[in-house]
Amino acid sequence: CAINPPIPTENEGWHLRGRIGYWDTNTKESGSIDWQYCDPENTVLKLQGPLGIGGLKIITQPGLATLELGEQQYRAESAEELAARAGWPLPVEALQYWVRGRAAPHSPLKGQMNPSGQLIELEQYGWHIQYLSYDDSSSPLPQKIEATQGSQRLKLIIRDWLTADCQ
Amino acid sequence: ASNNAAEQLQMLLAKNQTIQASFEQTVSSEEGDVLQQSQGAIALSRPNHFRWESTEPFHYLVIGNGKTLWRYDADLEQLDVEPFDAQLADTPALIFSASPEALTAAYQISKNEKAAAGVDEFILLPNASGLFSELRLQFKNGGLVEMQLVDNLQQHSRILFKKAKYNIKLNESLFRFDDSPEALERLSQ
Repeated sequence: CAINPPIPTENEGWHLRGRIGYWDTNTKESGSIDWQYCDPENTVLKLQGPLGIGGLKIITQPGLATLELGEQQYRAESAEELAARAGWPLPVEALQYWVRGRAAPHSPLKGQMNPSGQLIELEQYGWHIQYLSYDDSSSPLPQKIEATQGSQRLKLIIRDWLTADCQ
Repeated sequence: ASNNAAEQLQMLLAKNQTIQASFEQTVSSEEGDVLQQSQGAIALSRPNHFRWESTEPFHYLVIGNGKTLWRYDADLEQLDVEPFDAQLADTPALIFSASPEALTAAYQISKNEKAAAGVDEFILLPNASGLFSELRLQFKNGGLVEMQLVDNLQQHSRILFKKAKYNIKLNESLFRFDDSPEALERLSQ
């Protein structure tokens, strides 16, 4: 049934770990993702090479996002900007909600939920997101997500949902 | 002198025409806390033939035969086939299949004189920046036993090779990606 999916009342932090793949016409990346979210201005997003070697880290603090890539450090206003610079043009802002099985706020959307209230399909910001599986039939936390926009394709397999430890 | 270390390393590598082993890998942060542990199997055959398959906790397979490079992420069901390119391979296994000239051209090689008795430890510092900033290779009685590297996030990766077999005939099919449905099915277990 097409309805309006739950708008986030996100205040509690979360921490996910899993595998992520990103494809576009000329880029193909995959690896491990470790993402801790305390609040919009306090997150750590780590992407590791497919064999656990190498990768990048993006830290957001109030008013500043920092990308660590090897010895270099880059600063920008948003994690999204830095992710694109590092070769991972992910819709980070919206993804923070999508990974939680929710729509991002303040933006037009089309959503579809299954009878147990889990989001199964969503269109937002030009992306088409499919929730392929959830932790279990009643859990609000997705396990397998695929998102496409034009030639871009993103696949996320969330293996662990952990509690965030936010100082 | 360092070139002597390079020669010693080349001699040891030349003695390991093929290697087949299982491995256990531990990735820890600069501060030393364990970030990730994985295990799998490798097969190497000089020159330029290698197979690096990590099976736990994620299933990722890289195969190179000098002409083609296959990278398959079984969890994501993503296969990437490219002309062979060392940079793309993302795996230190390349060291073993690299020719002596390629090795000394790409790395400053020195020996750790303070290594434990019976262990030959070589330190390789890449001339060009890439996936790792330091790689150490340890040999015992001529066989590769351990590899350590510091990657571009300053994380330490330690790879222990177990049940290693050296210079045995390796089946050519190990170094070709089998994309038949049955093989893909097996990979996705």
